[in-house]
Amino acid sequence: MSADKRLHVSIKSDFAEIKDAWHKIADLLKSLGLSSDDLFDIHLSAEEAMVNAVKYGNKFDPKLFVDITVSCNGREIKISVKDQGKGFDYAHTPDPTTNENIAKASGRGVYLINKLMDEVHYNKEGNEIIMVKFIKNQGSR
Amino acid sequence: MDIKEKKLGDQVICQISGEVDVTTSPDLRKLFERMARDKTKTLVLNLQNVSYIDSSGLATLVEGLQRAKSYNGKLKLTNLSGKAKSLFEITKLERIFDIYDSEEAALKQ
Repeated sequence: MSADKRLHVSIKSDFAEIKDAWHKIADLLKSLGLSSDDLFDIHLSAEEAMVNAVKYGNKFDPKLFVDITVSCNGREIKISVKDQGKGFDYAHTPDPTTNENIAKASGRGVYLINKLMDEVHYNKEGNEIIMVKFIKNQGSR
Repeated sequence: MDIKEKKLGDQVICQISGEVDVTTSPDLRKLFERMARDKTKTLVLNLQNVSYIDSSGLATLVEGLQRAKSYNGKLKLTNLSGKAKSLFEITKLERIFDIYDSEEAALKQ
């Protein structure tokens, strides 16, 4: 059985910090034997969540931080991204694939997270997203 | 992200490689702005070597498409594969972009 793994990273409200945070997450995940497709899905979802936290949650406020917590137990990978903003109404994000929205430039981040991860939850305040990916390949430990 | 550009008459082909994300997509936006200033008739973007693209990258491509349409130019995408292709399917962006298998096919149309 795989040992549980856990990582906590705190970043400033700056896009420049996101890639480094992802590299730390990727280091934690590399021993899990994930497919490149699953790794891409987790990569994109984690970075989209961090971008939203920095931009919409903390509004680039240099005094505020984004906390990222990653845990994996051999069956699933859970990533939490929490900002210090007032929260966001995730339940009512527009569908970017409709005729009226398809040609709009923005609005695909949350939609992609919902499509690429197996489970997506939010805290009551709307300033934390919890994303889960089930591990299909359990060949490594 | 790296952009290799070549000009064929009034058409421009750009081979994009690497990661197109929130930190690199401003460079792609600058390319679209320059193409609009030059009124480039057709811009072909070969995305074969794009290893990662996020919603910011997709947003910048949509902006580029709108910008090209504003002066009756064309933006064509080629060689979409793997996860980049999958993202176009998931977001249904394949409905609004002209997508071709190769640069040659894009230039013929």
